Amino acid sequence: MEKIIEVKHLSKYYGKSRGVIDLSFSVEKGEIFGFIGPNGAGKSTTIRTLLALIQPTSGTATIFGKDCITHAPTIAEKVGYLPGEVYYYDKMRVRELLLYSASFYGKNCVPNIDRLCKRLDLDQNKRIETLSLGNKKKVGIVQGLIHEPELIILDEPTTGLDPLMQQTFFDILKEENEKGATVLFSSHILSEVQKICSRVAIIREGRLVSIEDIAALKQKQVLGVSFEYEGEEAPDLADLPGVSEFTVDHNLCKLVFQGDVNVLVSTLANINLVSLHVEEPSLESIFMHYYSAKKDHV
Amino acid sequence: MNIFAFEFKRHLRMTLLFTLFLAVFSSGMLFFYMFIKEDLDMMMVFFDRFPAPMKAMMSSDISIVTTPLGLFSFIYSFISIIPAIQAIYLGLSIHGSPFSEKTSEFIFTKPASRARHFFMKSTSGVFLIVLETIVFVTVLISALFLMGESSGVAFTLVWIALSFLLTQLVFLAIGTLLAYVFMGMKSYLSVSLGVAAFFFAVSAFAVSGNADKLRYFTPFQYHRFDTLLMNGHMDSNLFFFTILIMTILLGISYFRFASVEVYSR
Repeated sequence: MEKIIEVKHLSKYYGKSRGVIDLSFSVEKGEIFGFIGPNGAGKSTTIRTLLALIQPTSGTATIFGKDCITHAPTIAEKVGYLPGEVYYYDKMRVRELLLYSASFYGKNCVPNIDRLCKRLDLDQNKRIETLSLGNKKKVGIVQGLIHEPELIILDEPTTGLDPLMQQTFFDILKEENEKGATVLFSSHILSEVQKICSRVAIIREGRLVSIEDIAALKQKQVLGVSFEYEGEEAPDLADLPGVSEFTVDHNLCKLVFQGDVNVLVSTLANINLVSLHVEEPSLESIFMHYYSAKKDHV
Repeated sequence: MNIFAFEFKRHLRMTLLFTLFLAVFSSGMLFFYMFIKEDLDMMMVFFDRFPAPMKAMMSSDISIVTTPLGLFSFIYSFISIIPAIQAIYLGLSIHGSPFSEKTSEFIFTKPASRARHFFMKSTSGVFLIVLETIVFVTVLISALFLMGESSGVAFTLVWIALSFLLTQLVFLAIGTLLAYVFMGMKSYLSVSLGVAAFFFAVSAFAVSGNADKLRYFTPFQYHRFDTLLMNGHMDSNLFFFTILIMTILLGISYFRFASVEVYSR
């Protein structure tokens, strides 16, 4: 598979402060790649290096096989970028700004401007200074996509968007992806990554912790199970493989399960249940579980 | 719309407003000559009573006030700080706004090299100054024509235009350098005012004291209108010195800009 982004041993220091350390990962053509980690982990530093906004201290980063620093203008022709916080020229109208943005790409972007503005319900005649944060974010989305980029880089893209607009945004991203665009999606909101990404890189304190398939990450899921049973004798599930934190209080049992759920279900089938609650944890809790485990090993 | 057109359009209104001020002032000064024409001897006595440093600032030879352009240049030397402020402000605003308005992330992720950004922005500044110069000189020519004093001044006006243009371009380059040295600052007007006042003060010291070498440290002294009127031509050494200064200022600015890292939000 063709690698669209390839980062090799990338390090960036701001003086003595750590940005990222020895980061290596690649993003393949056509995938939606998540980039998650807590605030200050180094996500934006990595993205800014890819966009040639900052210079790496050591290591290399390539996009479309070209060095992202030395070939920045060529690469930028095929890249769309949406930053976390958007700042534009306050006195300009939305359409003026979008046309200015389009003027860099040497092609007619007007149909895309109109299509995306309509889709996002964005008034092109308003001045930037009169827009709410959410609407400014919409301007950011449109200006990042008007030239049909082959690579879309998103840094905390949903900040300021309401849930409905977030869904529209995800739909647009999926459509762009189906048309062939590769997406690098940076976020600290893991449910976003869960919704849309196929693989995810986990970054902490400037270092890459792991790269996982979302599906594989979900396989590591931890279930919180509680059930009420009928009968005098309490079932003993403490020794069942994958069970931990097993407690019995009156007729209510609680346990934490990690492993093949079929084993748990077949065991529970032999118990006379009154009620059963299984909590499917969010990716966030999986991440925290995984993350803390990794942290313990470091 | 590209970077050049964007910056040109963005700063056109401010430039035109300033140019209007300059046009009104310049034509006013020339027409003022008509009113004092009959009393020039008295005017010379009046100007001659000015303190020596002030006279030195205005001209080394007070007799130049006997012509419309001479009187204009005599008085212009005192208001020359205003075009300087405008040119510094223009340089600061064109080159500094991506950092002060935090639009650098937007603009520097577009497919254009830093060199192109710098060149286009600088060119838009130069074109605005050229536009200003054209209007300025056109107003001077028109006023002189209306006064019936236009004969034999064409060549002098060319030198005045070139002198004005070069001085403004040096201040533009100073503003450009300041934009990259103090990135993110927002108070363009106060900085422009302070810097222009500094060079104006240096200029006063240069002409009123014995520190003749000081004139190389202030663009106000590179191409004075009164000197042009007296000599009838521009000092070629100072012409090349001006070009050298501009090249150095823009060179330092570019290398600073090329290495700027955009990481603060």
